[in-house]
Order: sequence, then C-alpha cells, then structure tokens
Amino acid sequence: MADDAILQVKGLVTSFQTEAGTIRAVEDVSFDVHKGQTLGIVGESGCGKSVTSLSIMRLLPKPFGHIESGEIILDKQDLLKLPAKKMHHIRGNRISMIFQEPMTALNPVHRIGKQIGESFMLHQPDMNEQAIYEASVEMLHLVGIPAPEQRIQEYPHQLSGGMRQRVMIAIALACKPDILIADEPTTALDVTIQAQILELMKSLQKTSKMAIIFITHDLGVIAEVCDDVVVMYAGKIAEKASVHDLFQSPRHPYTKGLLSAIPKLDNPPKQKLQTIEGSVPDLMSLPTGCRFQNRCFYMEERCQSQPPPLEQIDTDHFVNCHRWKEI
Amino acid sequence: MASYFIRRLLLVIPTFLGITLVVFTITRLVPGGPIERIISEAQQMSATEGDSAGTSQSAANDAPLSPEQIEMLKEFYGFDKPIFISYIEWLGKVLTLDLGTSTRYYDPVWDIIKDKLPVSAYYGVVTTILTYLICIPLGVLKAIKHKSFIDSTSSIVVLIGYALPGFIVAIILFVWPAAQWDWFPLGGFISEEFEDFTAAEQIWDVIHHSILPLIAYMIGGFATMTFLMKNTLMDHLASDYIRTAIAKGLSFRSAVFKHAFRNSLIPLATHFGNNISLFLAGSFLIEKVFNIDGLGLLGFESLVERDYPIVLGVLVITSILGLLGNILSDFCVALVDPRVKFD
Ligand SMILES: Nc1ncnc2c1ncn2[C@@H]1O[C@H](COP(=O)(O)OP(=O)(O)OP(=O)(O)O)[C@@H](O)[C@H]1O
Ligand SMILES: [Mg+2]
Repeated sequence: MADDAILQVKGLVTSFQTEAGTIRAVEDVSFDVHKGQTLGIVGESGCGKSVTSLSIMRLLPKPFGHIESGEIILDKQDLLKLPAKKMHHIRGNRISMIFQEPMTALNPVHRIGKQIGESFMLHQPDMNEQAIYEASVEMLHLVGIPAPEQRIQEYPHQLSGGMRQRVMIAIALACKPDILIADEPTTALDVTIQAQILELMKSLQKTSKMAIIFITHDLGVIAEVCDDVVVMYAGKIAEKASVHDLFQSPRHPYTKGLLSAIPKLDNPPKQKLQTIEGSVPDLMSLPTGCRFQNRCFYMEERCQSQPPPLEQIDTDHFVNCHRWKEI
Repeated sequence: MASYFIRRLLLVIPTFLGITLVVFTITRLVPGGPIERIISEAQQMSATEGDSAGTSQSAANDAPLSPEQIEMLKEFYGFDKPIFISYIEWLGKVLTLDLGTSTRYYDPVWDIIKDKLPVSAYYGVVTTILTYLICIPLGVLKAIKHKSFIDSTSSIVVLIGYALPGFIVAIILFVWPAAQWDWFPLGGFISEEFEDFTAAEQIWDVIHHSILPLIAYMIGGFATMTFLMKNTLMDHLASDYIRTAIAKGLSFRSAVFKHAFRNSLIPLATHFGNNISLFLAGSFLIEKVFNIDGLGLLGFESLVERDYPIVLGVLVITSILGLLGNILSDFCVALVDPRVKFD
C-alpha cells in the first residue's frame, strides 16, 4: 500500500523551546496518507495532533517550535529540506489546512470574497478578476453556502460559526489541493452543523480524490469518516491501523480505554461513564519506559524500565506496547 | 451611519454646556478676579504716587476706589448678577459668535483667538501627521524585527523621549542647536523679512522655524504610539487569521502587510481625533520657549492674568475641537473596521 502514498511522514520529532526547558511535543511519528483516503489522528488534548499537522505545513510558531528530525515526503521530495520560498507554493496549493477555531481563523476586516480570491491569486496568477470572482462564488456554492453572491460581499462577523467553517473549507479547497489537513474542524461547532460539515468533506473528497488528514479527539467521528487511524498518546503513536482493525481488534490498552469510553446505546441507562483513570504525563518529565504506564491496567516491570517499540502485528497494524499479545 | 453621527453631534451640546458651566463658575469663585486686580493696581498706583508726593495721604491708600466705583466695575464685568444668569447671558453671546472683550487688551476675544489659530492649527495638524508617519512604520519595523538590535535601540531612544518632559526637550533644543550652534532660528513662527521672500524661501522659512518646536511636541507622544503599533501588530501576527493567511500560501511579509497591518491600525485610529485636538491646544511651555504665538500660551497667560473672557474663549474653541476630535476618531475607526456599525 505504501506505493500509492501521496504523503509520507517519517520519524517526525518536533520540540518546543520553553522557559522551563525543551519539550518534545511529537516524538518519532510516522504515517502514510493515501490518495482519496482519510487518515484520522486521534488522541487526548495535548498529545501532539496539532503540532504534527503544523509540522507538515511548516507552520510551527517561530522561534520556539522546531522540527528536530524526520522527513515529510510529498512527490519524492522532503518538504523539510525545501527552501521557505518553495513552501509558499505547497501551502494552499498542494496541501491545505482547516483550523480548529473557525471564529478567529478569518481576517475580520476583509470581505469573504477577498479571502477566498486570495488563494486563486496566489496559485493561479493567470486568472483575471472576473474569473476569480466566479470561481469564488462557485466554491461558496460547493461548500453549501446559500446566496453565495451575497455572502461573498460580507465580512466574517456577519456569518455564523458553521458558515465560517464552510468558508474556511472553501478557501482550503479553492486550488484543489492533493491533501487537506483538517484539525478538529468541527470541535467548535454544534452537533448538527458538525454532521453537515463532515458530510460535506466526504462528498467533496469523492469528487476530487484528495487525501484528508482528519484530526479529532472523537472516535465516533473517526468511525464515520476515516479509512486509517493513528492513535497518539503523549507525543507518540500508540497504535496505528485501519478503521476496521482498530475498532474490531484494538491492541493498545489506551485504544481499548478510548473505545470503552464511547457511550453505547445498549448500555443500561444512567450507568457511570467509563473513563481512563489518571492523567497524561507532563512532557517535561516523562517516565522512563512506556508513557502510558501510570494509567495502564497491564503495567508490569519492563513497562517501567524500557520504552516499548512500535511493533507491526499485521499488514497495516502497528502497536506500541510490550504486552499487546496478551491483551 | 449618518444618523449616528448626527446623534453624536447633538451630544456635543450638553457636554459643551457642562464644561463651560463648570469653568464659568470657577472663574467666579476663585479669588483674584479682574475687579480685585484693578483694586490692587489702583492701590499700587496711589502708593507710588504717595511715595513721590510725600507721606501726607497715607490714610486714603487703604481704599483707593470708592464703593460706587467698585459697583460700576462689577456691572461692567457682569459680576453684579447671580452666576447662572450671567452664564446664560455669556452663552447667548457665544451663540452669536461674540466671545466678549479681553479685560487686558480691550480687543474682541474672537479677534485675538483668530490671530493665534493658524499657528496652532499648523502645529496641531503637522505634529499629528508626522507622529503617525513616523510611529506607524517604526512600530511595524519593531514588531517584525522584535528583539533585534534595531528594536532595542529604537526602544531606548523612544523611551528617553517619553521620560523627558516636552518643555525640557524644548529648552535643550533651544540652548544648543538654536542658540549655541545657530543652526535654527531662536523661536518665532516666521522671520521678520518674511514678506520679502520668494514662495520657496517662505516655505523653507516656516519649516526652518518649526523643526525644533515640532521635535519638542512630538517626542513625548512617540513612545505611546510606537509601542501601541508594535504591540497590536505583534498580537495580530500571532493570531489565527495570520496562520490561515500563511497556510493559504502567503509569505510572512505579505501576511503582515495585507492582513495584520489594517487590523493593527484600529487602536491607533481611536486616538486620531484626540491627538489632533490635543496638539492643537498646544503646550504653553513649549510655546513659551520657542516664542510661538499660539493658543496654549494665550490661554495660560490669560489664566495667570485673570483675563476670563479669553480663558473662556480658548476653552470654547478647544472643547469644541476636542469633542469634534472624538467624533473624528469614531469615524476613523469605522473606516478601518467593518465590524463597527453605527446605528
Ligand atoms: N507554542 C507552544 N509552545 C510550547 N509548547 C507547545 C506549543 N504548542 C504546543 N505545545 C506543546 O505541545 C503539546 C501538544 O500540543 P498540540 O497542540 O499538538 O495538542 P493537540 O493534540 O492538538 O491538543 P488539542 O486536542 O487540545 O488541540 C502540548 O502539550 C504543549 O505542551
Ligand atoms: Mg489541537
């Protein structure tokens, strides 16, 4: 399957310089993204999902964020070795990104039309003003915004959160990117809008064959939209598998915990919700050995002394646990 | 929007009434008014006369003016009526653009103020424009090159300017570049031979005279404006929509100028009108050092000399300008920020 990978992330290590010292927010993360498919990245808040996606875009906050090592390969070239100028042609053109917070992601003093049109202006310089206008209206129409001719004249504050996220999607998709990174695109929206946005992304993907990296902390959403899943824990990959394998035979205790934390309809009502006890270790003072040890039911001595390797247990199934065979 | 500004203009009226009523009352209550001045002047006069003429009349010196004369003076200055009545009378005259007569020069107040207005307006407008022209680019540069050598050095310079009071700067500039080294004229607005100059020479003459006062006026305001620009721009550079812009494929530079810049002007726009009226009112100390015949000095001297018609006249002009400045600020904000809707 690796042969049709459109984007490969290999051994990504990203760190931040903070006042208290250097922290590694992402450590040794690798995955492939395939054309026309959706890769989900899931994990608790602070596990490094956004940092991973910002690393791919090379959008880490300067000067504190820093990619220590790894490769991000698009078209056989390593994006991390590209000069900054060349990255301008990749961003918004080959790889686009939608952010977590639609309320603040648009420029408050520019009209919607200008903000969409800017993408065309940057990447398709031969388009004239009229063509840009028509293409922008078409994009708004595509993402399901009613009366696009009118909306295009409006400012972000005149739009609801769901509308703004649609505009963000329209901007991201304007130049038909090969890869769309969606960093929790629906977290800030209410549930019905969330479902609409997910539906929209799926249908747009079908027609354009783009690959999507879908970031969320919601396994329910993963089940709905993804083909493959990466489960992250404290900056590392805990488990990586196809959606089917992950839901059918989760091997990492953390994945199991996450899955059992999803409330089910056939549970007796008013039962206590399952949660994973304990909390994520501080990235400044990680334990030796497995990062999940303090919350794990299966913890034993070697989990405390040596970090588990990421083992391949099936064609596309990887797990980062010493005891995956027993559980 | 038009209706908003009409309402704002109407609101000027009660504010204006409030300000003038308070000051009017104060001029009545503070000791040392024009009548007391005339009494003391008469006293001095008769005292010196008394000295030269001998010592015979010393008993009369205590009361140089008779009670009838004082009553006449009170009537002349309108002090014989209750405060509120004379305020209404004064206001009625103001509405017909009659600001009264100076108690020092016996000229109409409006004529005196009118003489000073062009100079004050010149300094007010030029100072404001120059401040913005210098502080905005400097703030942008400091934000982009945050913590660089140029950022730190300019901070030091700007902060020294902030710490030094404007009149101290004025004195320093006056003593060395003007008096000692003779690079600039010793104050005034134009040279005496101004009339004989060609147009180009006249322009240069005005500029030459105003360089030092302008520096003195501006130097204190630099810090606030520059740091306001720098800090808001830096806030905006770290904001989500800038990340969106860069994620679209914009270079950092274009993101700064096409996206962050206009947003960062919003807080500066809120100061625009106030700055103009502030500078227009002038600083009497700077005006004094450079011998500039402006409103600031006029107001201050009239206050010292208890020339109340002029004090009130200057107050009328500056408070109206200040209130209009506020409205101008609102207008500027509406210009740069589409979220601001007045209705
Ligand atoms: N600008 C930064 N400076 C310092 N540390 C940072 C910075 N951004 C992220 N981190 C660190 O990186 C870790 C991972 O952050 P990240 O934003 O990737 O989490 P996330 O998985 O996206 O969480 P969420 O679900 O809340 O969005 C955080 O725990 C934080 O300590
Ligand atoms: Mg995040």
